[in-house]
Amino acid sequence: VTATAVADGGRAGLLASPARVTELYRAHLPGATRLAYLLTGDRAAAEDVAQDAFLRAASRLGALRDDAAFGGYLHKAVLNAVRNRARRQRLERRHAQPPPPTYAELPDVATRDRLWTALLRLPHRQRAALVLRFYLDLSEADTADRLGCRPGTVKSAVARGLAALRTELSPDPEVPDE
Amino acid sequence: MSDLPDELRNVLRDRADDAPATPAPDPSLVRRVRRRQAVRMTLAVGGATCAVAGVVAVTAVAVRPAPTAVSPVSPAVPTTAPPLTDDRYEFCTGQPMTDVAVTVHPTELKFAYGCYRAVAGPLRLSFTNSTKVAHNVVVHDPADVAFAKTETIRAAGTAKAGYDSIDLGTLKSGDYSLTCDVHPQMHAQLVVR
Repeated sequence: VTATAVADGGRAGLLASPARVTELYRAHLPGATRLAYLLTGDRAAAEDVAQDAFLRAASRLGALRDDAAFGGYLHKAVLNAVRNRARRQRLERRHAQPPPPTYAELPDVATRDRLWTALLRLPHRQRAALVLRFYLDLSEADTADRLGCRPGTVKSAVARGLAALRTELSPDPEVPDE
Repeated sequence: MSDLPDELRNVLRDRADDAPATPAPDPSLVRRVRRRQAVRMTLAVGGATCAVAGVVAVTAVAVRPAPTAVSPVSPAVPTTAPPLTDDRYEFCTGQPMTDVAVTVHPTELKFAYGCYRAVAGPLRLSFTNSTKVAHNVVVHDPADVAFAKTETIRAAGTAKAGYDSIDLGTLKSGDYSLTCDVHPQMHAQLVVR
């Protein structure tokens, strides 16, 4: 492979064909967008994250022999993009905004909305582990592969995430009447 | 909540339906993907070339320490040079020119030299591309604002026959830069003094 081959007509054999890119886009982008939405809770951000992750993943198509592996690769790109976005937001919040309201300050909403709200408040790794385990139904090993950590870490992240959700959803202790 | 995982599973599936619909593939999608791929491959090839050149150089020195053993693979000045100082100017390729003659490396995606130097004043830039790959030259002032560009040309046989020339106007002393619209990784310095 020479640089010249990359730049001229010879690149047809090296770079992804338009049909392959379009096909992968149609097959994988909806799933990536849903995953990004579940991780960010923000429709606009989900679109941006999914598009950006697709571009990143697709730029490595040359190293990918099996298109079936592209989905997992795209998931990793989405997770990385969401994590980076969360870091940026954390920095911005630290300097610009007051902390988000605690659950007790939120209006009384249906349990599912409360669960969703509580999920979005979890740390990135716990939220990602829960989404991969309970939305994509991945095994602990596969979840660990996507997150780039050990299965034991996934296990503890899921356990802590569920415990945090239970705490958030448990009714407040009653205040004794005077 | 007795079975939180099941409830969570249901919530996630419900919420996933609220995710935005996927837009149709943008016409520029394939171009953007391929551009990223090309940059990635070029970087990989560049890294490999450097590694091979390093091994060759070390081997040549070890086997034949005589000066004739060294055979540089590419021009001595790297394409991506650090910010220039006047010390760097002294090492800039060639003599100061009243006209800048830019050429393209015959086998790699870069200009033939990483640095060109010119005399402050009225300048023309001539651009010769003898390769089959289309390139142009965009000239940026020291504030990195593009102010002149040549036609996009390739080797003789095409409309512009591999050559274009543009008037840069009167240039003051400063570190200008040259890039290629088609291949953003191509970069050279134009040092005007």
